[in-house]
Amino acid sequence: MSYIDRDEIGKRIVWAICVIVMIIGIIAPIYLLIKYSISDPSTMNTGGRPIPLWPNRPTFDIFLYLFRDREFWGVVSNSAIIATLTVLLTSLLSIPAGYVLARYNFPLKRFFLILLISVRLFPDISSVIPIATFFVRANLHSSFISVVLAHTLLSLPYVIFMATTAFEFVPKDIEEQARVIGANRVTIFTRILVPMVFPSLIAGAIYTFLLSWDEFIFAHFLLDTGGQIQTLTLYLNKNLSFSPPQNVLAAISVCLSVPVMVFTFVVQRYMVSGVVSGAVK
Amino acid sequence: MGEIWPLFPAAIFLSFFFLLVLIELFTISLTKTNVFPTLEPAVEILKNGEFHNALLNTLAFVAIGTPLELFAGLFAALLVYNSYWGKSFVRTIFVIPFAFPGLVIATLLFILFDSQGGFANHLFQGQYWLFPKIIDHDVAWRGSKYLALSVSMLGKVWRDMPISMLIILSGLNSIEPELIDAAKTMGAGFRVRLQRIILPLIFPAMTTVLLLRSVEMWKEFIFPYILAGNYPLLGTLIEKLYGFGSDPGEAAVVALVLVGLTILTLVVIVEITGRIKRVLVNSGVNSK
Amino acid sequence: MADLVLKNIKKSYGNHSVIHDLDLHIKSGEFVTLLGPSGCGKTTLLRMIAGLEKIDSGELWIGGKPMQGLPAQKRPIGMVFQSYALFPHMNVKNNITFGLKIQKMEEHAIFSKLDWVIPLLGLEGLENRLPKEISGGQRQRVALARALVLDPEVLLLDEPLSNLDAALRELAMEELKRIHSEVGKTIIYVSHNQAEAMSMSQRIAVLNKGNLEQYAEPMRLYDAPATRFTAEFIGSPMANSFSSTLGIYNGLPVVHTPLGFLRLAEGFPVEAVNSGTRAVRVCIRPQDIHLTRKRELHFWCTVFNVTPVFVETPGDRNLVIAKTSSGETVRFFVNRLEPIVIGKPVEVFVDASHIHLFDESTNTNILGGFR
Ligand SMILES: Nc1ncnc2c1ncn2[C@@H]1O[C@H](COP(=O)(O)OP(=O)(O)OP(=O)(O)O)[C@@H](O)[C@H]1O
Ligand SMILES: [Mg+2]
Repeated sequence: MSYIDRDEIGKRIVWAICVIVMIIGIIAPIYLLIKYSISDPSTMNTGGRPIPLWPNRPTFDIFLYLFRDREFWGVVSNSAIIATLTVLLTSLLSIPAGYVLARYNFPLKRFFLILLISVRLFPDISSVIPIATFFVRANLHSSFISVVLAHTLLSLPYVIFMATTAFEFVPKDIEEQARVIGANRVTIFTRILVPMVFPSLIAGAIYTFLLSWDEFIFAHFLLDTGGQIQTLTLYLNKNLSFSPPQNVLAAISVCLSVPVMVFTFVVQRYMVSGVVSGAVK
Repeated sequence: MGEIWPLFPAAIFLSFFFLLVLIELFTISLTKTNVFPTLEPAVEILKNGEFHNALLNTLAFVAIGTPLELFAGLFAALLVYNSYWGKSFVRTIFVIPFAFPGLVIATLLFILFDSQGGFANHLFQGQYWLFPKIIDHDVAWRGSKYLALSVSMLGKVWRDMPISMLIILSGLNSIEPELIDAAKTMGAGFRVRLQRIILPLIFPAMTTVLLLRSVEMWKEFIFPYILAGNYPLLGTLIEKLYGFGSDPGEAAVVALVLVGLTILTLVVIVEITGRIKRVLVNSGVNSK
Repeated sequence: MADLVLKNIKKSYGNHSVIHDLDLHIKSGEFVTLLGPSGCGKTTLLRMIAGLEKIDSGELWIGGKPMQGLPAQKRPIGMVFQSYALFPHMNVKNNITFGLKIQKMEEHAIFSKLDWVIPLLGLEGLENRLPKEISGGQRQRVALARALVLDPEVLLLDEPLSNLDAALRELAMEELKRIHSEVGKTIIYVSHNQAEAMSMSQRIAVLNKGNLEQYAEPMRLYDAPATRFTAEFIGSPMANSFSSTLGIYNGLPVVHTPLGFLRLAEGFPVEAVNSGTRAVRVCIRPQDIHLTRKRELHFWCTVFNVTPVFVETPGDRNLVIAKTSSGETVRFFVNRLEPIVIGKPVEVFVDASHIHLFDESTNTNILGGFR
């Protein structure tokens, strides 16, 4: 006697088909990106015949070329420097702020939270004009510092929120206990609180790093007008306008994606709860 | 008050830039070649046909893209939620698009939807196993407004679907499983459970998705910038006016319009979903 | 007739077997309780009957129809969950009519159902409240109403009273008994509270670690427990339990316990004492040991001495904890006014008909094969 009725089997089949279609829809483009990055010219210019699903002669030439290119490394290191500085500045500002928001109630708290949400929801494509104008006037245009400040503005509201949530999970008793033993506030903060919320702070730092690493709009407006500094996203965009072979574009794209993918899966759990709770509050 | 000083650096930083953005945005929008104040940029832009086009295109982009993302996210979330097998595996796969920078996906679509010899053309001409033939000749995907913006939207929805999915999934996971069981014992099949129990209970999560995603859609820049350069949305128009046109005044006016429309959309969505919610809760009460 | 029959039901989660091989026959209109300690598989069994959990193997029949392959929504059952599982976004009335609306019942028929069930469960005036706006007891009644209006052949209740406080619990038990007598449905009730089960049910299925220990009327469980588990689980506090041997003394069957020789009941089958050294477990409830107080005792009673070491006062009676001469602990109840002096031996007796004997190796009642 069977214990699964026919409806049930039908439902499972429908589910499996939907999932498979979705997975193909997600994996296929990514596969194609990687395939293009290791394609040889004969795989891309087929003269009307179908493009092969696997390169005729897979080659890592483009990657090797990029890795030997000084400009490419300059661009990568610029992106890395900007992202690192943004992480530092964001952490410096967000950790104390998150602590205060988690622990104290004060008259202007609501006001500050509204400010956070407003900054977060304000369209970046709208705020980029005044900010670029300001940096031009301040003679900081085409400098690391301008991009770092702008990226910090983008990451800060969300990371403050993450830090607040993390500190809220630390029971107040622990702090009071430490105070009774005789530790002062700075010691409590650096020796007890920060280690306890460390995973969340790391998640916030990774989020910030990736945001800066990927960012295009501010980098474009602040650096692309006659300056010397270029980031990886700008480099990819510049290459797009030269219409180089597709494998070059794909290879740069892969380089741009690798850290993002690695980190995203490392912090997926934090990001998930963060995205969700951040969205609800 | 002495206790909250650690908040000050962040507060000062944020308020400084927020005020700067607001004040400068208004100032620039009222400035034309060093004359201030003047309404000339606003008047100019309102007469500009490109602006009208961009406005309509963006409106369509938001009106179609936001629900599309909601449904894509809802569909994916339901598939994960009702997993018969490998729930966390399916979820992880579905989150992958979010791990790619928008610029990368836009570049990938740029490659795939090339007008000559692009993979999409080959695929849609039925040159591969199993895929039906849809078109006869190569299509210039970036050469028509509808196609270019559709491809942009495809990229946007594909990449951002995981965010919608995760928000809805957290709504689904907060439904007590016994509620679903109870509905089953009362005779509710899958469709009734979906309509009468699951959807009403994840309504707040869906509202959140609509709010967040509509903002994202209004300000979308990267996909249309790469894939639909000739058919600007408001976001790409701002870049064009500021850069090529060297007309920061008009760019600032468009930026303000964008902010205004975003806020308006949020208000409208809150209002409409509030009404729907009231109807949902009250449904059946009226029948004495 | 809505008899419910379970045959050779088996269930495991992975390698962990939860229900081993269970047979149960519940008659139409009966109020049956599944009783057992936490984790013994009561909820699992109930959910399998409801169709919410897959049955690994075996047969389930309700009203003469096989239930295999029928999903929960097609089975003639109604269920009340431990958490009540009221739909939080629907008011009381919509919760109750949810199932009726699915059946596309006509409006006037729905109204007459409501007119029947709302007074039956005392829910007048709460129709338009949301679940979060009513009390725990009211929620439980809404959950019951919601199941009742669908007119199921079998009503499954999973510890519906466990969230209520003691007073409300008492009241709700009365209520349930009344409703059962009014609607006459087959009710399967899950509980790990034996007092609750004893007072409400017509028959009780005692479950332990996925096995059916005994299935009988409450008094029979109490007076003639089929297994050692039932003897110790039913009744409170736990029965006195000694390892002992059977034997013949003066031509009469006796059991040799740490209390001394205890005479066995009239008509005890001598065949059961086939060898003089058979190992048994003796269970005697604290309620069945009494002070002699110079009372006239009939022949089948055995008298022995114990030394009280402690007196507990749980309520209307005092519980005496005493030691035998061999150092074993014996518990028994005495009248609250009875003067008990710690350390001063007292004389007590037990009636042979209240001595329960279990085979040490199989843990089943010695008399099982003879009754
Ligand atoms: N979904 C599951 N997966 C694995 N094991 C389970 C699952 N559900 C229940 N079990 C196990 O099955 C056994 C029986 O569980 P069940 O919930 O039926 O107990 P119960 O008798 O209802 O207990 P309680 O009185 O605490 O509600 C337990 O050991 C439990 O750990
Ligand atoms: Mg249970």
